[in-house]
Amino acid sequence: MPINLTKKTNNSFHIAIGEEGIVVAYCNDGASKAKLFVRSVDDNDTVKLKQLLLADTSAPIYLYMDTLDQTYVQRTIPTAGTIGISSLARKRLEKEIPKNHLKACIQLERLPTGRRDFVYTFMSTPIEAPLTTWLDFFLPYLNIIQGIYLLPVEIHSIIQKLRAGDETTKFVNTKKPELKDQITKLVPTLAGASKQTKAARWELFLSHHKTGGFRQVAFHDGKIIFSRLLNNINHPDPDVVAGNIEQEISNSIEYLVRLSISGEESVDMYLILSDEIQKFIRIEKLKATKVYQFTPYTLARALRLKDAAGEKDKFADPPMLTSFSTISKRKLTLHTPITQKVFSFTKNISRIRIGLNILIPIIIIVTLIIFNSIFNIRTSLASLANELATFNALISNHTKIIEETESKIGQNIKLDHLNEIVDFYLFLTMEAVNPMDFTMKLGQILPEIERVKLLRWVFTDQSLYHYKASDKIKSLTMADIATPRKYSITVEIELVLKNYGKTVEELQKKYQELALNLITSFPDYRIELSDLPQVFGLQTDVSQPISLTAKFIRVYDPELLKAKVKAPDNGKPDSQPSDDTKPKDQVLTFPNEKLPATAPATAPSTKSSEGNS
Amino acid sequence: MLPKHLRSFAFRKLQGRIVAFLIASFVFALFAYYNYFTAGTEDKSKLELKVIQNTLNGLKSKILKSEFSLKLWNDRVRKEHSDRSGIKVKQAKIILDDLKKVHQISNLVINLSNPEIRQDFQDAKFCNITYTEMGMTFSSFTDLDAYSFLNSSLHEIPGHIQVKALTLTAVPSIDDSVLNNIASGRFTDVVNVKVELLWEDIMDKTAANPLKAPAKQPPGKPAAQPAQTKPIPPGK
Repeated sequence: MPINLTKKTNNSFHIAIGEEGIVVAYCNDGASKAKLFVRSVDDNDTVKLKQLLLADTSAPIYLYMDTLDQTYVQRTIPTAGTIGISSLARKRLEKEIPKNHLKACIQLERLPTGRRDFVYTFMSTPIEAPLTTWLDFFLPYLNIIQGIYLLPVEIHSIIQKLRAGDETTKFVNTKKPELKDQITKLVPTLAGASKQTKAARWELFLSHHKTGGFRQVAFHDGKIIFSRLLNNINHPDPDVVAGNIEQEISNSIEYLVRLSISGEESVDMYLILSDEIQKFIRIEKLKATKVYQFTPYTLARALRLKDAAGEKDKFADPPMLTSFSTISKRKLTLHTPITQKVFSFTKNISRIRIGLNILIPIIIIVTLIIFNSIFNIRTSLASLANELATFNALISNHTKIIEETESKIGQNIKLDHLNEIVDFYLFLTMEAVNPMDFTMKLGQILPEIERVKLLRWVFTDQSLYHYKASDKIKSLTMADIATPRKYSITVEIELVLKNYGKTVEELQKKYQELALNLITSFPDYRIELSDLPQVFGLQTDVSQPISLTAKFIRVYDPELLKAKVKAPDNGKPDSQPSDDTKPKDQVLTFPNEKLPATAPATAPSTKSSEGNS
Repeated sequence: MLPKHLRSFAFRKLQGRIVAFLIASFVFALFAYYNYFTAGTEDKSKLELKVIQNTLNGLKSKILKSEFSLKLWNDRVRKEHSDRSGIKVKQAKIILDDLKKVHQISNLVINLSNPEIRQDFQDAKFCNITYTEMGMTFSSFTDLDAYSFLNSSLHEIPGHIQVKALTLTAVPSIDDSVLNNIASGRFTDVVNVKVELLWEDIMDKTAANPLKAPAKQPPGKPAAQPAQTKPIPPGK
């Protein structure tokens, strides 16, 4: 048989260890690539096995114990509840089974009556020859032992596969009709059985193995009850063997009926025997509800196993082992301390490999991102260097301009000094208010006025500037120097109004003209003008000059003015001063007369002065 | 103990990946360090650029300001402030004496406080502003004479003068005695003026005899009394 050893696939070694030797199935997902029977670990016997192991070191090894020395016993575990029952069973198992044994337990069911104890199957096999012999043989190879399995326990997966559906029967019908006939003559078809009736809770499996003899296994609800290796019924005559088998099966079925907890008596029987023996099996003697008979070849066909068995093959081990290669999850995995160590070690190595496989690409990607970042930074740096060079050139150019400007100043004054002098100059000349401006304007309306008796002009600086050392100094910077000052001017004058007319009406008209003149001439001021005398006698000479007082107030607040200009009222483009500035300044109040329409109702009043010329 | 061959097998299995991992890690570390280094350099360069940009902006504004200052200096300031030695009392006295004669001012009395340095511009590097508070009373025959004298004083006295208060009082009435005096050629003063002024001027900090700035008051202590005024004797 050609073996492709170079291609890396899901190859695996499935090895049944028995008293007589081992059967090796080198498989690849249900296809048998090689089948070997190795009697001992002698070099002469293991040449081909060694070749296979060395040729495919990545193929894992699965060891199935098919030895005689296997114990399956039922134990009842009393407990108050389901919680902690497993650990209780485990403790009892540890207590009952010697340390040097591979051991496990499977929960069967709970007794329907009494204390409702749990029933467990305790199973064990000693860690000794032939297991140890073969472990010593396999451990030096790089092929990892994935686990040690009890063959009777794992056999149920084959029953499950056979029961799985009618695909097996279809295959038999189409490809090999003679096989179907062969089966259906003796027993109902598997497909038919699975469709018509529910599978029995008891299952009895018997197969002929090369490694030791006839393996008989009993299952209840898929869980193993007992297993026996019948190595003493071998005989050259198949009819004798068949008779022995009939006897053994009858005994086992009787035993099962006795064991039956719920009184069920239906037992399904699976026989994997050579064609020669099958011929002499009398089904009616078996006392089984249903009997399914397979030869190794028909089993391989039913399980769709490729090259697992030939038509003339007598032994069931190769197709069974090949069938195990298709199972992803096994019923029970056991390990000796050394195989456990090796398995954990390789598992960890595998994890590290997976970790590295993930980590390396991530590092490479991050490195590439960083590389891209470096590239961008380098480009940015080059651009920055260009900008720096440009700015440095501009700075030297500007410095030269400044030096040239300094040379123009003369008097050995540096530019900063000059700037400071000019700043101070501007500060001192800024908003310089001269009373002469006021008096000049007042002079323009002098023809209307006979005489100014008193003029009191007061300038009040309301700015932040406090020049006196005694003042509370607010530290100002040279930048503040350009801030316009806030100030107010108050002017009080006493004037003599000359009346050129003869009547009171003419006098009042003159008074009104004076008031209008003042408003026109001093638009920035709020003006308070005293009234004319309220009472005129008939003999009063109204042509005599009349003395009046006037008060002019101007408040200059550049910040307020600036704010008003920035935010025009009602969105109208407005450069007119607000009520706080100009309009208020233009108010002329007539304390004892009717106020003009524009005058505010709360305007201050002054007392009228008496004429005293 | 694990079989020896398994260890070597594991090593062989991981060898390539470990080498690849080490190389990748080394390259990553190298690039990460270089990235950190270049990022630092970039930050420094950006900071440097910002500083230079600020310097340049400062220079630009300085040039603009200097152009303006130079123009103003040549046009006006040089003439008025070529001598920056502070308040020039002596020079003012001469000017006032002259103006008094020109505008027929009588009863001129001038009081000055000791010149001091303004304390509100502390970060000025080259100059100070000195000030003195000045009080002036005088009489004149007409208010026009008074205004003219005052106006001329404001313009001719070196430095900058801000009028703080002005009070002009005319005689209550022009009676016969006044008219008779005028007729006989004896002009009687009919206008009395009282003016309060703040006189300021620029003074270089490096001036030959700079005024001593008054020491700052420690907190909690009362402020110093304003400088005492002293009269300037009227000119002959």
